[in-house]
Amino acid sequence: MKTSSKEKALWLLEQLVPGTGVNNLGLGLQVSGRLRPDALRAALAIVAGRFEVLRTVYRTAGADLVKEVVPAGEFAVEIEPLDLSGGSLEGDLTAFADRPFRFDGRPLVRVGFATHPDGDVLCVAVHHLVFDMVSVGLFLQAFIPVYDAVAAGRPVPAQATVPAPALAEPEPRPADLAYWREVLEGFQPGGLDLWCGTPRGRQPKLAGESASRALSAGAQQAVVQLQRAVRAPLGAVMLAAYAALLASHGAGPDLVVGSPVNVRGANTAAIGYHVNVVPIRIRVDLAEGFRALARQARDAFLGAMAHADTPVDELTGELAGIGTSWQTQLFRHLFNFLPQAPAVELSVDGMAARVLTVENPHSKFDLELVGSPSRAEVVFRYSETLARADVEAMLDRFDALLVAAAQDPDRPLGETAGWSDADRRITGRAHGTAAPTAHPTVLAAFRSWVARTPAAPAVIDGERTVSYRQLDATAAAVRALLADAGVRAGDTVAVAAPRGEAIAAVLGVWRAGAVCLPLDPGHDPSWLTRQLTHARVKAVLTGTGVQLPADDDLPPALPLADAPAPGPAAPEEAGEPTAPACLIHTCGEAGQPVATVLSHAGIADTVGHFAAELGVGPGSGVPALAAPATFDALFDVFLALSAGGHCVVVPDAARTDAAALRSAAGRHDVTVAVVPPGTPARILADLADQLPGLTVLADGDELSAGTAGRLLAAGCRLHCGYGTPQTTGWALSGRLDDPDEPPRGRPVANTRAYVAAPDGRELPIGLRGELRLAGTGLALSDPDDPAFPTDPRYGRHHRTGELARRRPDGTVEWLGRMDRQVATGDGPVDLGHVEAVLLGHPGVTAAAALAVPQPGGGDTVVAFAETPMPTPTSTDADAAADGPAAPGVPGQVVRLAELPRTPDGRPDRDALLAIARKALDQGTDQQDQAADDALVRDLVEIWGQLLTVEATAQTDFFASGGHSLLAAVLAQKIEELTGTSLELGEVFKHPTPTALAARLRA
Amino acid sequence: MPNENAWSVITAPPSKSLILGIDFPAAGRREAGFEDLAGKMGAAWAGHGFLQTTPPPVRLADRPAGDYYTDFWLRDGAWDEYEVVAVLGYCVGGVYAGEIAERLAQRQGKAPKVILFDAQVTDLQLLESEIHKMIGLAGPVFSADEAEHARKRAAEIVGTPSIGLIEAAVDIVDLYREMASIAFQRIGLSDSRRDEVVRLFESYMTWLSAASQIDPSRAWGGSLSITSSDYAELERSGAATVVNATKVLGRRIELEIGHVDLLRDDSTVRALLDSAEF
Repeated sequence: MKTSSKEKALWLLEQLVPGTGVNNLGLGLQVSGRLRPDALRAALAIVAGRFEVLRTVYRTAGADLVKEVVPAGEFAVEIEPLDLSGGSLEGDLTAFADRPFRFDGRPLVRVGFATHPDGDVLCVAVHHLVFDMVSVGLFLQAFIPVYDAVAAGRPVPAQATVPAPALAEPEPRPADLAYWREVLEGFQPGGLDLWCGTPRGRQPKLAGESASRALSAGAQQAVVQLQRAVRAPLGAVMLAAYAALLASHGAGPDLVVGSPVNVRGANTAAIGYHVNVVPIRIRVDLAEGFRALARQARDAFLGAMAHADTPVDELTGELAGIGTSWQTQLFRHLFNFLPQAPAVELSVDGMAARVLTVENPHSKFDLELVGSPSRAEVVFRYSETLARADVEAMLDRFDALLVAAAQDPDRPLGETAGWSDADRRITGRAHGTAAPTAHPTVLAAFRSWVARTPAAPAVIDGERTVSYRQLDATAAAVRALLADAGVRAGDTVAVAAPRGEAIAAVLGVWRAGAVCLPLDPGHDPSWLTRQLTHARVKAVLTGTGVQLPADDDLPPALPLADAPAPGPAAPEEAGEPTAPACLIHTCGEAGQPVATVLSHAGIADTVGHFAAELGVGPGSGVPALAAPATFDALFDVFLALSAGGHCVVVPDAARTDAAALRSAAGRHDVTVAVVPPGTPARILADLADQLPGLTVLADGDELSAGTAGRLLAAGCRLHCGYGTPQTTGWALSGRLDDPDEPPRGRPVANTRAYVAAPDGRELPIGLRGELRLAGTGLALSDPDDPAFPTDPRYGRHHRTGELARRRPDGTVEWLGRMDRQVATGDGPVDLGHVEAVLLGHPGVTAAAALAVPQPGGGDTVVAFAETPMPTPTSTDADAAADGPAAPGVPGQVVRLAELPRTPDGRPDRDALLAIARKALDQGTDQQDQAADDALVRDLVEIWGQLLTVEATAQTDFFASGGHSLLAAVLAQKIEELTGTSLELGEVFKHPTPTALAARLRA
Repeated sequence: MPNENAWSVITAPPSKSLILGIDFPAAGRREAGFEDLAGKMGAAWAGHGFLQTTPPPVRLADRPAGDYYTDFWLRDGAWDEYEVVAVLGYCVGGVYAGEIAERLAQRQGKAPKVILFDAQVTDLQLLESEIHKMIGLAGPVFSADEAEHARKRAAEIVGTPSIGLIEAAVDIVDLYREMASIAFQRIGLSDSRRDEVVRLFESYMTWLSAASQIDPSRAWGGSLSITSSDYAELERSGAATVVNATKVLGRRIELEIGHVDLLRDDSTVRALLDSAEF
C-alpha cells in the first residue's frame, strides 16, 4: 500500500536523527497489585487483532515508504521484560519508549512489563505512524475491559472484538489545498530563528526538554479580560500572545506557527495517526496593539481549522524554499493548546491504576507551547537549540506580555512585548553608570597633579625624564607660540612631532582652547596634505626632524623648538567640557579624510574611568604603545597624566619587537599596559618576569584565548575592552579571569550600552542584537548622521554594528562585528576571530581576514598574516591555520612581509582582496601549466583513445570508465610510447596524465 | 608507526589517534576509496592519522585463513603508542574491520568505533559475479559463445555440490586466466601483462575468500553502517551477500547515492559528521 505525504513527512524527519525514537509515543500504566503476563499477552492479541492500524507495518523501498496490514492471525507482539534499573520510573519508561522502530515490516508497537514494589508496570511504545496522543486514551478504553475479562476468566465483551478497520484519511480536498497555497504564498521559513540560543547549523538538534510556569494571578485575570476586550476565544488570545512573544524574540515578523488538530471527525474512537499539524500564518506588527494581533490570530486559527482535513504535507515540494530538512521546516514553533481529557478513575482487574507520563526526550520544534484551557499553567517544550535559561526567561515574558496586553490592548506591542520584570530590573541596574567626574577635562586633571606633585615624573623618554612642572611649562610655552601665531579658541591645530614632544604640544593646544589634530609624520606626504586641507588647520606644530610637504596653500608650520622660554604665560582659554578636544582622521573609501571629533568631557570620563579600573596613580608607568595619529595614542598618555602616573615613551619597534619593549618597560616601572587595537597582545607575553602584577587592557575581539591564557598564567591582571572609532577609545570593559570566556564587560562611566533589534527596540537579556552606545564618550556628529540616531529613551546614540547580547549578570557580551560574520560552506565564521588567532602566533605582527565571494555563491575566507621577520622554517602562519575551531579555518593563509595599508595605516582591504583572489586562483594555474607539457599531451591522447570521455591532463583513468583490463592496454601503449615498462600498480597509483607523466620522469 | 608494509598512510598522525581503513585498494577501480573520504572529511578528521590496509603478498594456493590477514596487519609496529579510535571497512573490508576492531579493543582496553560502508559478506555468488563483471568489461573482445561459455562455467563452479569458497575461488581464477588469455591474445597484449592482471584478480579472490572464514556478526552488531542505493537494490533483489550482511548490521544509515560514490559523496560526509563521533 502507498503511504500518504503526511506519513512520509514523519519518516523523512526520522532520517535526520536516525537511531532515535523521535516519533515514538509511550503509554505507561501502573496498577496497585499484580498483572498477569499470560492475560496481558492474550488481551493484547485480542486488541491488536481488532485494530487493523496496530497491525500495520512499514517498509522502506529505496526513496519510498510502503505499508501493509499483517493479518490478525499472523501478528504477534511479544511482551518484553521492562528494565526498571534506571534512576527513576519515568526515566526507565522513556528509555523503553525511545528505542527506535525499524521500517522493515516489523510491528510498530512494543510492550514491556515489569513487576514493581509499588505495583506492576505496563509500558506500551507505539510509533506515531499508527498512533497519536488521542490514541492513548482510546487504547486504554479498548484494552482494559478485555484484560479484565481474560484475567477474570469471563468471556470478552462482544463489542471489544468488533473489527476496527484502519480509518482511511480523506483524499486531499482541492479547496483545502487552494486555501493552504493562498495562505502560505511567499512565506520564507528562513526568518523563524530566534535571537537567542545557538545559531542553526546543518546538524539537527532535536533533543528536547520542558520548562513550565504557573500563570500569575495577574496573567490569569488578564486572559479572562482579554477574551472579552478583543472578542476572541481563549485559544486565539493565547496564540496571539505566543506569536507576539516569538516575534519579540526575533522570529518572523511573518510567522507560521504549527498547531495540531484532531481530524477524526465522527470517528471519535479511531486509533491511529489522525492528527494534522496545521500551519497558522500570522504577520506580527509590533507597532500595533494586542487587539489587532489577537483578531488576526483568531481568524487565521479558525481558517486553519476549517481546512485541517487536508494535511499541509500534501504541498511538500511545491512551496518554494520549504522542505523537510532541518533548515527548511515550514514552522519551528508549535502551539499545542488543547482541551485536556478529563481525569478518570481507572481500574484494572479490580485494582486501582494510574497512567504514568512517558516523555519523548526529543523536540521536533524549537519551541512548543503546551497548555490547556483548564490549566493555569504554561509548558514550553524546547529543543536544545535553546538554553534552559532562555526558555525560563521566555515563560516569564509570556506572563508579563498577557498582563501588559490586558492593561492596554491597543498599546504598541513593541513597547512591552518580550520584557519581564527581571529583564527591566537587570538592565535598569546596568544602566546606572552615571558617575561624577573629578575633573571636567583631561587638562584640568593634569594641572591638578602639577599642583600636587610638581616634581613627579610625567614623561620618561629614553634617558630623559620630564616632571609634571617641566611638562606644564613647555605646554605654556606652546600655548604662547600658538597665541603669537594668531590661533584662537576653536581653531584646529595639527601636531606632527615625535611622541615625547607631542605630549606638551597637545597640552599647549588645549590650553589655547583649540582642537588638536594628531598627525603621523611618517605617513605619506599626500595624505598629510589632504588631512591639513580637509581640517582647515590653522597651524601645524612640528617636532624635531619633522618636515612637512612644502606647499604655499598649507597652514604655517610652527617648530616646537621655537616655543618661547617660560615667561609670563599667555592667558589660558577655559574650554567648555562639551567642546571638541581632538579630531582623528581615518581614510575614507575615496581616499578622503573622514573626521571623528571627540569632546573634552568624553575623553575625561573615559580616561578617568580606566585610571580607576586599571589602578593608575602616582608611580604607575604606562607605555605609549599606540601608533601616532590615533586616539589610542592620546589615551595612553592621558591615562597616566590625568592620574599622577608617568607615560613611558617606547620606540616604534616596541610595538612588534619584544626586546625593545622589555628594555623600556623594565627600566621605568611599567605597571599598566594598554594594547591598542591592531597590535598583537601576544608581544606582552615576552615581558616574562615583568608580567606578574602588570595590569593589561586589550581589545576583547582581538585577544585570542591562547594569549589571554598565557598572560593570566604569567600573573597579569587582564581587562578586555570594546571600543569603536566613533567613541573615546573604549566604551565597555571588564576583568577577564577565564581565557575561554567570551569577552564581556560593562559600559565605562557616563556611557550606557544596550542591545537593540534592527528596528531599534531594546532587547532583553540573552537576545542577540546590535550594540548601541550613548553617553559622553560619543564622537560629535552631524544631526542627520545615520550612525548616530536618536532614541526616545537614550537620546543620541551610536549604532556600533557590533553583535552583542546582555547576560543575566547585566554585563554585555560582544560577539564580533555584524558585517564580519561570514557564511561559508563550513558554517558561520567571525573574521575577527580568525584575526585574533593569527595575532596570537609568534612572528605575526598584523593580521587581516576577509571574505572572498565564490562563483557558486557563499564566501571563502582568506587570511593574511604580516610576518616581517622571515624565519628559516616559516611555518608560523601555517600553524596559525590550525588554531581556530574547524569552522574558523580560513581557506588559505597568505604570509606577507608587510600588509598593504591605507594612508592612515589600516590594512587596505581592496588591495588584500586582489591578492586573495590571486591566491585562490593559483591552484588552477598550476594545472594549466601541466597541459603544456609534451609528455602529458601524449598521455592525454592515449587516455582519449581508451576512454569514451574527452580527456584532460587531470582525467582520472578509473573514475572515467577505465578498469584493470584497459589499464593493461594503457600500460602497453605507454611502453610503446616511452620504452618504460610500467607495472599495473603504477597506473593505479598515478591515474591522471599529469601524475603518470611525473612518475615516468622520476 | 604501525608496520609500514601492511599499512599505507593517507594522513600522517598529528597526534596519537588513528583511524584505520580496511579496503582492497590496489585494484584500479571506479569506486571511491578511503583517500577520497579523508579528503572530503577535511578538518573534521584532521586530528587523527588515517591508515589504509595494504594486502599481504599471499597466493590463493596458500589458502590463507581469515586471521592471516588481520595477523599481517596487526603484527609488528608501535601499536602501543597509538589509540585507534575508529576502524572503517568498505564492502568485504567490513568483515576484516570488525575483526580488527575486536582485537584492538582487547589490546587497548577501549573499543574503536566500527563504521561499515556497504558491508558485504563473501559468498559463492559474489565470486561468480566477478566473472560476469569481467565479461562485461571486455565487451566485444569475446564472442557471444565465449561469453556464454564463461558464464556457464562460472555457474557450474559455484553450483558444484558442497564446494568450499576457496576451492571455488581457485577454479574461478583458472577460468579468469583462461578468458584473459583469449582476450589479451586477441588485442595483442603480451603474456606478462596478462599474468599481471590475473595476479591482481587472484589477489582479490584471495581477499574475498579469506574473509568468508570470519564471522563478523558480533562486531557488526555495534557498528554504524552507511549504505548506498545500489546496496539497497541488491538487498531488495535478495542478493545473499548483502541480505546476510544486513541481518547482523547495527545502526544503519541509508543514502541515496551510488556504491561507487559512497566514499566521496557529500551526503556520506554529512552522515559521518552527524552520527560518528570519536
